[in-house]
Amino acid sequence: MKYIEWRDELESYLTDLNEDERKKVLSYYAEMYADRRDAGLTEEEAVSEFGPPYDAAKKVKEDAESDDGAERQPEHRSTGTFEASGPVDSLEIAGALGKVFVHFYDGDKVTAQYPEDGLLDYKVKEAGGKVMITHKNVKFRDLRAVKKVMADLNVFIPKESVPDCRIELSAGNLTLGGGTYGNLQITVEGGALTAGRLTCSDAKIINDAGAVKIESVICHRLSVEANAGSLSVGEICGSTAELKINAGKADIRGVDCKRVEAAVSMGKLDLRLCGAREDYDVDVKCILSGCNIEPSSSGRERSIKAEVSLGRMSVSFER
Amino acid sequence: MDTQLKKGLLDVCVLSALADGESYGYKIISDLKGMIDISESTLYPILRRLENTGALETFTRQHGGRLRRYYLLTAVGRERLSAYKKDLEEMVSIYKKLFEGAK
Repeated sequence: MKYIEWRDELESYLTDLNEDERKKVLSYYAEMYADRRDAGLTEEEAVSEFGPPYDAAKKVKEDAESDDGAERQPEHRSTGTFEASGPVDSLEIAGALGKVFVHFYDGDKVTAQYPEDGLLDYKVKEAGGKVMITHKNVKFRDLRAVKKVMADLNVFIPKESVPDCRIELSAGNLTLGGGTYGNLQITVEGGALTAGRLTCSDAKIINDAGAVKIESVICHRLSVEANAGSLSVGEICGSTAELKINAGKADIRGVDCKRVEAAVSMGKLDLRLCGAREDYDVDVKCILSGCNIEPSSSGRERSIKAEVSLGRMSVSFER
Repeated sequence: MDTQLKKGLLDVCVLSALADGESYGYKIISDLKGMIDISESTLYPILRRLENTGALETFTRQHGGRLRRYYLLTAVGRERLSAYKKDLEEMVSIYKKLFEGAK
C-alpha cells in the first residue's frame, strides 16, 4: 500500500474528531513515515509497520474516549458477528444509526460486526447471495439512549468482489471505504456520510438532509439528488451525470462526463467541469434565478443541460 | 502481559526515554526497541495523554526541510517519573520477599 493511500484511509476513519485533533494525528504519522524513509526503509516497509489504518484510528479514539471519562462505553455493550456462507452479490444496509464503516479487505467473505445492545440491535439476514443488515426502528425519544450505547457497525467486503450495495443512513456517521461496487445506491436521511474513491457501474446518491462528502465516483451513470443538506463530490468520471438539486447545497468538482444534466429547483449548485467552455454544448434555462453561463450549441462531443428555477447555478471549467 | 500493567509500564518507558532531554517520535520508538515492543499507533495515544495531563510539552523544529515535533518533560512529568520509580522499587522489594522468601 502506498503511504498516501494509507493516510487517506486513516483520515476517512477520523471524521468524527475535530479538525485540530485530526491534523495532529495526520502530522504525527507523516513525520513517522518521513523518519522511517530517512532510516532507509522502502515505502512498502514503512507503511506495513504502521498496521491497518482502521486499527490505528481505533487506538487514537479509544484513548480519546477514556480520557473524557463521561464518554466511557457502557459495560453491557456486546457485539454479534456474521460471516456470509458464500459469495454475496448484493448488500443492503438499511436504517443505519450510530457509526457505520464499510471497508474492503483481503479476505474472501462478506463479514460484519454489529452491536447488540437492545436499542441498537441490527439483524443480519442472508438469502441467495443477498445480505441484508437492517436496524430495528428506534423511536425518536430513544435517540439519546442510542447515543450512549453507540457501538460501531463494521462491514467488511472482499476486495475482489463487486456486490451491489444499497445503503440507507438514518442518523450517525457512515464511512464507506473506497473500492469497486456493482450498482450503488445510497440514501442519507440524516447524519453524515463520508466515502472514498468509489468505482461502480451505476450510482444513485440521494441526500435528504444530511452531509455527504465523496472523494470520487467513477461510474457509467451517476444520479445525484440533493433534497436538503450539503453534498460535495471531488471528482466524477463517467458518461452521464444527472444532478437534481431541490434545496440545499451541492459542490461538485472535477466532472469528466459526456453528458451533464442538472435541475436546480432551489438551493445552490457549484459545478466544475473538466475541459474548456468550447468543449461543451450548453442548454441552460433560467426561470427566476441566475446562472453564469450562456446557451450555445454546435454539436460538440460534450453537453451540459440545465434548468434552474429558483436556485443558483455556477459553472466553471478546469483543464 | 496484562494490558493494564503494560499500559502503566509504557507510560514509564516513554517518560524515561525523555528523561535525558527532548526527543521525537521515531527516536523514542528506536530507543525503547529491545526493551519493550511499542508501535507507532500505541505511542500516539500515550504521548497525547501525557501531553494532556501536563507531563510533557511539545514544540516543532526544522529538520532536513521539514518540521519535526519534539517532546520535552515538564516538572510534572519528572515528578511522575520519580513517583513511578518509587512505586516500582516498592513493588520489586515486595516481589523479592514473596518469591525469595518462598524458596
